[in-house]
Amino acid sequence: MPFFDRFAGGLRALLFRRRAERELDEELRAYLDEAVDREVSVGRSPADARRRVRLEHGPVDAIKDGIRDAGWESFALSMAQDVRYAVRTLVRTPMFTAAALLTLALGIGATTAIYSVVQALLLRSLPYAQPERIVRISEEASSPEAQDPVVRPVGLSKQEMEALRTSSWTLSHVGSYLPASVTMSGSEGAVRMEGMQLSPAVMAMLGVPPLLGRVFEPREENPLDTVIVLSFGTWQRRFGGDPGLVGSTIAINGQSYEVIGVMPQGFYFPTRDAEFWIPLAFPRGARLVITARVRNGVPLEAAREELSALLGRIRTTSRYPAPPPPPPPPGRRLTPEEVMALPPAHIAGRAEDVRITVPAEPPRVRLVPLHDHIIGSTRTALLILMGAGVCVLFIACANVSTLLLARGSTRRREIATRLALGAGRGRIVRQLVTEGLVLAFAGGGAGIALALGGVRLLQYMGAALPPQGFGPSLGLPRVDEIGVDAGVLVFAAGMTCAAGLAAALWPAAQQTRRADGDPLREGSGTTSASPLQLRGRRTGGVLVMLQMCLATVLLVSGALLARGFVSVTSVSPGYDVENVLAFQVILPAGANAGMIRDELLERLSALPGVQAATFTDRLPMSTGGSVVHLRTSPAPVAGPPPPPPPGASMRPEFPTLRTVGPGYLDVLGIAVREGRGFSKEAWQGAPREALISRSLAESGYLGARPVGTLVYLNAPAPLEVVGVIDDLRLFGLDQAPGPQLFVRAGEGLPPAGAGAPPLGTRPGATLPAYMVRFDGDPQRVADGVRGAVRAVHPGATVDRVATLAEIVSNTLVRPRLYTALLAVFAGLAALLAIVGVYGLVAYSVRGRIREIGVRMTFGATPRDIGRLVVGQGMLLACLGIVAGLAGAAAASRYLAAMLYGISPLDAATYGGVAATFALVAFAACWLPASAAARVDPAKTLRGE
Amino acid sequence: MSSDPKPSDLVQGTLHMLVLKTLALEPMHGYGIGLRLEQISRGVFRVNAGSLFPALRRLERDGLIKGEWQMTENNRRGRYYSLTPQGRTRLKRETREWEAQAEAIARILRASPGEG
Repeated sequence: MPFFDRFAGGLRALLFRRRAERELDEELRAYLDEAVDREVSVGRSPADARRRVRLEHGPVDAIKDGIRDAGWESFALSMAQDVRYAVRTLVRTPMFTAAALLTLALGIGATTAIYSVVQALLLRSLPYAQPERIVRISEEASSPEAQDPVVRPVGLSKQEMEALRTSSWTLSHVGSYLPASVTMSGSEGAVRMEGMQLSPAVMAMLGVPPLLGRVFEPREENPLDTVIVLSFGTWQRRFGGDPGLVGSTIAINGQSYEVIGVMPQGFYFPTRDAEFWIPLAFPRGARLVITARVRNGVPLEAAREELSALLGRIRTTSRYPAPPPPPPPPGRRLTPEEVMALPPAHIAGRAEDVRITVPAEPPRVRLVPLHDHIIGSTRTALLILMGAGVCVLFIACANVSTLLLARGSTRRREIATRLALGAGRGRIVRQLVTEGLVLAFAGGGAGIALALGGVRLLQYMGAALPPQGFGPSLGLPRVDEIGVDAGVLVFAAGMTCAAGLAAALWPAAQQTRRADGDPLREGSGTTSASPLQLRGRRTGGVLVMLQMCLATVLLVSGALLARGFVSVTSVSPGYDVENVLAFQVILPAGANAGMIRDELLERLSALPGVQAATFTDRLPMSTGGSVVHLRTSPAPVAGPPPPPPPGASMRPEFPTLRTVGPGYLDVLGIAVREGRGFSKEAWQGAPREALISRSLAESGYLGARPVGTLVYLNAPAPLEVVGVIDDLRLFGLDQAPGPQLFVRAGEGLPPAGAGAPPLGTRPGATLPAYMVRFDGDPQRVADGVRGAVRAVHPGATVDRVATLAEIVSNTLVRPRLYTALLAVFAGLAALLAIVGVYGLVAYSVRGRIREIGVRMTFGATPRDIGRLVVGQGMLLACLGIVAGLAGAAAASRYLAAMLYGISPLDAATYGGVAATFALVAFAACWLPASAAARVDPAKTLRGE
Repeated sequence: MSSDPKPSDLVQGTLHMLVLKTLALEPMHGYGIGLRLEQISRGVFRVNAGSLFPALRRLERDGLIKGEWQMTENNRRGRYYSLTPQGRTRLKRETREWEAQAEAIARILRASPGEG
C-alpha cells in the first residue's frame, strides 16, 4: 500500500522531526565529503574541491528543501505555520474577528440546523426493507377540475383489496392498517395504549424480523385472532423486558390476547407512537387506504397503470346484489311507521348475482410512497428553508469577504514586500486562504453550537399535542429523529470549508495581484486612484448587490408567509373554539361504555360552569377520519358515480362522517341554516337523525330540498336528514371544508356506518372524545370533569385534556414553525446585507478620503459629498432590491402551496418590502456619507 | 510534491528507474549511486544531490528501497540503500516498459518514407 507507506513515512518524519533532520544533515554531509574527497583524489586543492562541489550541487539548504518537499509533511508543516500566523493576526484584530466569526456562525448555524431536519426527514430512509417500494394506494376523490388542491384519498373496499392481492402482478404484498386505541387492564388499573391493527401482509412487507417470537401468519387476518405483537419500548416499559412474555396473554379491551412477538428496538410503524400491532378488523363496508409493496424492478407508474386497469375491471364485472325497488321519492318526510313498512329489500338487499357491465370512468388510482406520505408537505417547506439558510450563509460569506478585503488594504505593503522579495503568489494566496479557513472553522464551531441549540428549538416548536385518537401528529414528522449526528457534522464541516474558501479566495486573489500599481512606491497608502481599490470596489459592489438581492427574496418570501399565516389564524372554522374543553375517557375492561357515556353526559351538564356537554367520535382538527359512501338508495348501486358538480373539490357522495352526541351544536356554537338540530330526547326507532353541511346540501346530490330526505350508509337502515348546518373546518383552518355528514349517535347504539359494537370497545375504534362548553377557569372545569368521571366509574381515567383553542392552535404548528424560521432567516439576511452595504460604503469612503478632500477644496459642499457617497451606495442597493423582487416573484411559485389567502405575487407585500428595505439601506449609506461630509480637506491633503 | 526535480540531462521520470537498477547491483550510499550512474553511463548522466536525494526519499517512502546506516569504505557513517522486494518487482516492470517504448521509438525514428 504505497499510500499508507507514504503517509506513515510522513508521519514518522513529523513525529521525530529533530532526528530526521539530524540524519538528513549527516547523510548530506557524508555525500558532500565524499564528493570533495573525490575532487581531492584527482589532484585539486581541498579549497578548490569544496568550491567546485558547492557550485555543482548548490546551497545545502536548497537541497534539503527539495528533499523535504518530496513528502507531504512539509506541506503540513507550512500549513501549521500559516494557521499559527493566522490565529495571531486574528487575535490582534478582535473587533474584526468577532464580527466575522459572528456572521459565519449565524450562517453556518442556520444552515446546519435546517440540514439536520432535512437529513432526518428527507434523506434518511424508513427502517424497513427497501422502503421506497412500499406505497399507499387510494383513489382520487377530488374531481379532476377542482381548483382547490385539498386531496382526501378515498380508500378501497375489502373485496377490491383482496382482488388486488390475487390478481396484481406488480404488487408482492397487499394489506391495510388502521389505528387502534385500546385499554389494557393490568395490575395497576386500566391504561390506554395506542397501536395499529394491520394485515399480516403489512408486517411481512416491512421485512423486519421480530426480536422475540414471531409476527403474524398470513391467515391471521381476522379480528378473532387475538394475537398481539409488542414494540420494544412497550415491552420494556410496561412489562419490564420480561423475556418470558411471549406466549402469555394480556387483557386488551377485556379480551385476552396472546403475545406472539416483540419487535426489535428502533422499529416503528407507521409512527413511533405505535405500541403494539394486532390483526386488522376491516370494518364492514369501509374503504381503507391500501398499503402494498411494489415488486422489485417495477416502476411505480407501471404499477399505478396496472392497478387502475385492474380496479376498473373489478368494478365493471363484480357481482352486485340485485338492484332494489326504487326508493321513496326524496323530499318527503317519512313517518317511522312508513319506514318500518318499507319492503325488506331496503333493509337487506338480497344477494342475487347480477352481472352489470357499465362503461365506467376508469378509477384514478393514487400511488404514494410511504415515505412521501409520512413527510407530506414538509418536503417543499424544508427545501425552501434550506435554500433560505444557504442564502443567509452566502450573504454572510460575502460580508466576511468584504471585511477581509477592507482589512487587506492595510496589509498591502506587507504583501507587496513579500512578493518583491520573491515569495510565490500561490504561497501568499495559500496563507490568506488559510486565514479565511481558520476564521471559517472557528465560526463553524460556534455555528455547530448554535445549531445544537437550534435543533432543540426546532424540536420544541415542531412538537405538537399528542393526537386525539390515533393519527399522524400535526407537528413535524419524525421530529424525534432530528439531531446533530455524524452526517450533520460532515455537512457542517463541508459548509465551513466552502464558506472559508468562498470568503477568502477572492480577497486573496485581489491582494496579491502584482499588476495593480505598486504599493511600495506609493506614499502613505492613501492614494485614491489605486487600480486595486477600484477593482476591489467594483467586485465588492457586485457582491453587495447580490446580498441585497438575496435578502430581498427572503424578505418578500417571509412577508408573504407571515401574511398568509395571519390570514389563516383569522379564518373562522365555522364553530366557536373558545371556552370548550375536550378530553377522552379510558374505561376499564367490562365497563358498559354506552351506559357510562349517557350517565357521564348528564353529570357533566350538571357541573358548575358547564353549559353544555357532548361527545364525538373525532374531535375537530383530529387528522384522519372516515369518508363514507353516502347513498340515496338503500342498496349499493352499480355503475359510474354521477359527475362531480362543477367547482366542487370533493364529490358529494363521499362526505366526511362524524358520529356525535345530541349537544354537539350547542357545545360548538354551530348555527342551523335550515331544518332543525338534533332532538334532545332519547333516540328511539328508525330513522336516525342526520345533519348535513351546507356544501353537501348545495351540491344537489340530495335533491333541491335535502331536509327530510332519507339517506343510506353501509347499514341498511336509513338516516333522515333533519337539518343543514354551516360548513365546518374539521381538518385544519387552511383546508376548505368538504361535504360533511353528522349522525347522531343513538344512546348505547352502534355508530352509524360501522355496524360495529359501541364506540371504544372494539379494538381499533377510536375512543370517543367529550367536549364541554364552560365558563371561567378551564383548570377548575377540568378538575370537575375528573370528579364526574370518577363518580361514574371508579376505574375510569381522564386522558388528553385540552381546550379546543389549544387543539385548533395545534394545527398551526407547522405553518408557525415555517413562518418563524423564514422570518428569522429573512431578518438575518437583511441585517447582514445592510451591514454589507454599510461596510462597502464605509470602505470606499476610507479609500477615497483624498479625492473627497480635493473635491471639497474645489468647492464641493458637504451636501454634494454626501449625495455622491449615498448615491453610489443606493444605486447598488436599489439594483439589488429590484433584482430581488424579480427573484422573489420567480421563487414564489414554490411558496404558493404554503400560502393561505394571499397571492404569491401580492403587490402590497412586494412594494412594502422594497420600500422599507430601501429606506434602511439609505440609512446604512447615510452614516458613512455623513462622516465623509465632515472631512476636513486641509487635514486630508496635508496628511499626504 | 508531484513534480520531480528534473535532472537536466535525464529523460523525465527515468531517474527512479536508474536508481533502482543501480541498487539492484548492490546496496550503495547516496554518493556511490551518483558515481555509479556516471560511470556506467560513461559520463553522460551526472546527477547532483538536489535531484538524487529527493528521488531517494520518494523511493524510500514508496517502500521500493530501504536505507540503513553503515560505515563506508572511507570510514564515514553513510546511509546505504538496498532494493526491497517491491522495488525489485517495480524495476522489472519499468525495465520491460522502457524497453518496449525505446524499441517503438527507435522503430519510428528509423522509419523511411516508403514504410507503413
